[in-house]
Amino acid sequence: METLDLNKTYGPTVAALNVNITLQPGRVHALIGENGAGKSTVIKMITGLVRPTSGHMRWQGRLLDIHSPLEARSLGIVAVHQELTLVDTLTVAQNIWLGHEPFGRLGTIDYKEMNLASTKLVGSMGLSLDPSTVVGKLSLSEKQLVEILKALSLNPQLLILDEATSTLDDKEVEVLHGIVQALRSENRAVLFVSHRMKEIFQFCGYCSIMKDGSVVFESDTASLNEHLVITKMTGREISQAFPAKNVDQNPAKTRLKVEGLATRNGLHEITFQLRSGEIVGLGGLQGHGQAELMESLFGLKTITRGSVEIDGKRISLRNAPDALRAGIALVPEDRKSEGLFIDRTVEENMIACSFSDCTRMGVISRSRVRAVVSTIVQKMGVKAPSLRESVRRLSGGNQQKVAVGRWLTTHFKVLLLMEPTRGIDVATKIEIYGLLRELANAGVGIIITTNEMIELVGLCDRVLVMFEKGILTELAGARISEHNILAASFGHRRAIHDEGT
Amino acid sequence: MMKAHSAFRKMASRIPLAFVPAAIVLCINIVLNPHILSLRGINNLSLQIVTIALAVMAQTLVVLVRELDMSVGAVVCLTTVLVGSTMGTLHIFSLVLVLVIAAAFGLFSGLIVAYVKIPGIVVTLATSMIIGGLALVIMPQPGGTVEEFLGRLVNDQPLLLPNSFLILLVVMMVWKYFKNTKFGSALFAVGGNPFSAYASGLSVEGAKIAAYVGSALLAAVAGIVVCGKTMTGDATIGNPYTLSSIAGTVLGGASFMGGVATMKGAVAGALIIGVLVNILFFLGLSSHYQNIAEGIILLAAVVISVFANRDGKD
Repeated sequence: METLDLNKTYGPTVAALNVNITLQPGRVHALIGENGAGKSTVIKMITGLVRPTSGHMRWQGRLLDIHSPLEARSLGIVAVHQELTLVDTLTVAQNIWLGHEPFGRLGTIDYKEMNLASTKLVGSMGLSLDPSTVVGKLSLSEKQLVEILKALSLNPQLLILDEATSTLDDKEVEVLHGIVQALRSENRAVLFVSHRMKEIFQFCGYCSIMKDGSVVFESDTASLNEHLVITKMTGREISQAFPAKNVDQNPAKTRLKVEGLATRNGLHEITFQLRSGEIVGLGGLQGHGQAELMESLFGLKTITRGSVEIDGKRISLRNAPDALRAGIALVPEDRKSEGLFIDRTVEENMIACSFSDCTRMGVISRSRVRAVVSTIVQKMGVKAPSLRESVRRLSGGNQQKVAVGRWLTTHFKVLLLMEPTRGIDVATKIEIYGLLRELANAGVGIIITTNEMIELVGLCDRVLVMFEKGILTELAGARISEHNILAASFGHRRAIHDEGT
Repeated sequence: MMKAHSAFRKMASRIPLAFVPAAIVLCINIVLNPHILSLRGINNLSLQIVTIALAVMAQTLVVLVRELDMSVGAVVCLTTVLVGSTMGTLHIFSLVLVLVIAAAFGLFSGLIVAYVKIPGIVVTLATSMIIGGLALVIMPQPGGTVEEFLGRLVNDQPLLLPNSFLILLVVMMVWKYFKNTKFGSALFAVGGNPFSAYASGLSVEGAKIAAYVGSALLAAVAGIVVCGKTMTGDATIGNPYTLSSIAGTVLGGASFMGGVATMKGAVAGALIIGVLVNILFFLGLSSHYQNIAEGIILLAAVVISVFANRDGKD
């Protein structure tokens, strides 16, 4: 398999730029890069989930385009994704053979044969899993293994493992390692994506490193070490103007104190403090618990253990109203579906969080609405043709200003922002950085999640790097560097330097 | 000993839970009115339950793919009307005609649900009004001719087993076959998780359409049995079947989230409803009480199934 100058653009965004990757039979090939480097896009193109904007693929010497997952599968290209694609209500065997069941006489499915083949497959992996168990009853890692078995049952020529090890424990990873080596010795190709540096060196003989949509480096893994890999992923210029950081934070009081927090969906031992006037960033690769942490601090996820304090007072966070009463505000990741009432007017969106300030005897009062709205427009610099226009008509940047601005009249103490600048033009981004810093300087504690490394480095006073649903490390001052954040994102504590590079 | 025990458990696990309450209501009915154990009584009970069972199976097929069919009753109505008005000229082919027409309506609903992606409950609410209205236009008053052979086919009881019960057995066997084909497994997969089914190369649209066609066909068979029982066409006789079919489906253990249902469960659900109607009738309560009772049972079954399935998902 070979990709020839694959390109993929979404509107003005370039997701993949002239990507050339050669996957050879009998070789395990690692694809490495930070969030948004283009790994997923490349995999999606190879497996027919998205069509490249330009460029081609060569499969066993033949030039071709792959139009659908089914077509990829018929070529022998099979991917195991991080998101599970199993049917919970079917058995292990039914899931493994779904879509390519063995048939007996009369066109009926030969369940005997199916169970037999499943048992054989399970046995060959050295697992003990009853093929007649309903998948819904399995643990997450068992499901992941079934997903891998399903891929193997298709007898792949090219197996793509996209973060397929993320839920597996050491023993299970070892089993997978055995399978991958077996495939290699049968002269199949394997493409391996993982966030665990150790596995990359353990599994793979060759690696391609991606940055900003392009492959920037490729080499045998034998001639590489972990430091070098991380260095190759970094190296972006901080070209945007960020407001001055809050250097002197010693006298500032603690706004938010989280201790030993755990949730039902995997967050564990989350302990940190957020001081007044501080902007803290949550770093790490996607899916390592950043979103869950934000949502649990806003009462959207059930907290099973630990305590949360605001200004030294312990609070309970059973739901969003609890969070609001405690002075916590959240601006969600997806503006259009979660952050805003997208088809309502700018004005209506702005008063959504301070509704009771806008009424007189339970009825909306025009003058009070005007007071609230004008405060927000003034502070945030929202540019709208009319306040009676639906927010859908505004630019992304102005939409975000509305989403943030509507909290301004609620006297919040802690502001949680998820991906605050996604899909926003550079000028407005800089404006938003300034606004956030202003809010912080006024005494608010701010936590942001972002996929943009430079925002973590440029905007944040401290960065908490999350790894496998916990906080791996905390970086502050000069230690906030692209190199250190990436090293920690890959769970590589030793590679963290004391000084920024 | 252990072996016998586990064999028993295995057998027991294959019998839907719904047969337990079904057996209970049946016992109550027998205590109240031992006559239902007579040959005549068994035949009447069988007729009563088989029509409801066919309607419940029709609904179950659609619920399996996460949809609802509000046109089950209307199809029963149209079927009796068409049989009543065409049997005089077409004789046995009249039955073929109604099956074809029912399948066509099922296909129509299924196509809209699958490709326009409108919830099936809305689509079939509309088609049920069309189908029910059509039945009334064709036959405003009950009437028509139904030939003797259909009456015998449905009502006779040559040995102990009533014919109506044999009809149900045949339908169950056909289902048992289809369940094990690619088509059948697709229904379960699509209902369980449409995205996974698609990712595994199955046609989500195809499964939904097939479910609606199958549902309409089963409803038409129910209509034919009703026709043989009453020997007339009647454009309103099928209306109660829609809600009964939904109640029976829930009682039978099917999940509205799709992917989980058994036809044995559907029959058990129908048994509960059919016997309950019998009991109310025997107690001399009007059919209006039947609605109240069915409503209460439906609500209870849904509430119980929600609590049973609540396993602490975040």
